[in-house]
Amino acid sequence: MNSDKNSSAQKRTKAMNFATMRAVVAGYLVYLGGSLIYDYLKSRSDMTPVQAWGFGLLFIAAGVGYGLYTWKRWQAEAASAEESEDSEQS
Amino acid sequence: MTTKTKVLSFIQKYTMIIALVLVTAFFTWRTNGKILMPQNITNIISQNAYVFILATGMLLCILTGGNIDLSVGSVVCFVGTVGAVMMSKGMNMWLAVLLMLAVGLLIGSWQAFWIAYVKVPPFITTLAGMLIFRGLSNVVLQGKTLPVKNEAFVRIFGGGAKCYVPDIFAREGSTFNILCLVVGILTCAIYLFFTLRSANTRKKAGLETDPMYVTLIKSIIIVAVIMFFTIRLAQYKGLPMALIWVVAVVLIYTYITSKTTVGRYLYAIGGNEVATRLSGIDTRKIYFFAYANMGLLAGLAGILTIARLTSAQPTYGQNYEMDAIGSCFIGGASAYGGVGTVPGVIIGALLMGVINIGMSIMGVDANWQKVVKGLVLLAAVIFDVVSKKKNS
Repeated sequence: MNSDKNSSAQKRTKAMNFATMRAVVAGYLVYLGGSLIYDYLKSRSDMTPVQAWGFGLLFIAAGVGYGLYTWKRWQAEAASAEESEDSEQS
Repeated sequence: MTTKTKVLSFIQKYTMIIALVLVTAFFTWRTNGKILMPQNITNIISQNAYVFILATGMLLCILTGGNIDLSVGSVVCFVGTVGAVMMSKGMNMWLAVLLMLAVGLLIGSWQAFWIAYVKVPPFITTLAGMLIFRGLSNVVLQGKTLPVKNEAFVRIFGGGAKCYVPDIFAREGSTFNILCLVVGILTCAIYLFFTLRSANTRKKAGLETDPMYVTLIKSIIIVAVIMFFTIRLAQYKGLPMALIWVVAVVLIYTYITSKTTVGRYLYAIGGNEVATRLSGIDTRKIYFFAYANMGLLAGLAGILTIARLTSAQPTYGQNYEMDAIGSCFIGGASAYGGVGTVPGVIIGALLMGVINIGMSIMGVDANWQKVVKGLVLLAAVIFDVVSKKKNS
């Protein structure tokens, strides 16, 4: 019983580690996109407006989307870890 | 084993080395060979020394089960700030170095305590550390730059024009660094000795070994690569000091991860934490070791950073954690933990370094470099989402 609990806690921890890494990647994408637009607005970029805004918005959108995906996936994985713990107990 | 399987397993085993060779070849072509000029090879080492060191420490954290340390960039900055302030007040250089390492270790131990003994998730603990130590650096420096004027410190830990190991065999009028060549030849001799000894030991023990010609071809290629870079470095100013620190860290941690009990425990926890604990190993101590050690190495990276940039600034160390984490995963560490080696991580860091410096030599605008990084990340994100869909 105790090892079952340990195993579901381990599953949850692993899910959290993955969610963390995905969140870091999502945050970094937003940062990259934001800095492309910021540098363009501050005239510190060789890019054309279309390139700066295009890539900037693309990265921001991808980062935000991936962040939401990470949140949903983390919730699903945490719920599945809890479910497996409940079913093992019953 | 058929030839096709052999080729496939070879490619699988040496994917990152092949990628490194291809990327280097690409930039050699695009920069007309400039990337392999002695000064650029030195730059790759000096500018990426902090990545090599942080990635080695990060590997130990990742081995414990895919855990990462988000605070390393801020710790690098804070340790550098402490050192710069101490030296500006006239503290002895070596005392300041010891103090910086101690501060790094203390911060690492503080975070390790929460992670290992209170079971606060590493992500939360180190995210807090990232904010705390960045903030403290700002408070101490008040948003200003503090120069590091200690010349001996800069020469020993820095990456500038004077930061090379003095050539004890130097002859008047000759610019070729003989000490560098001697070190290169010795490295090759040591490598050959250990390779042949290991092959011999395996043969005696009746274990499977590569055929002699494969060992020979592999050795010839590695010796040729070592000698090529040795001669390139010798043609410029010899061995950069940063290389000495990196090699020391790599050798020590390769030994720890592959030959010591602690190293085995790190892999064991990453493989199956519950089984490791049930077999009587105190996993808390191993977690503590991994994160305290990360603090110590962040301290060393802080020393190298302020010595290379000859100043301390509250913005130093930004995104260093990303470089370290990226190098680990590129170098073959598994996000599940329990898989990865120090040499693999170094190859990952080298690959990133070559891409960065290659783009700089090509004169690619910093923003285009960000676009390349972003596109690589996007590819990884798409791969992650698609592979999950396929699995489910």
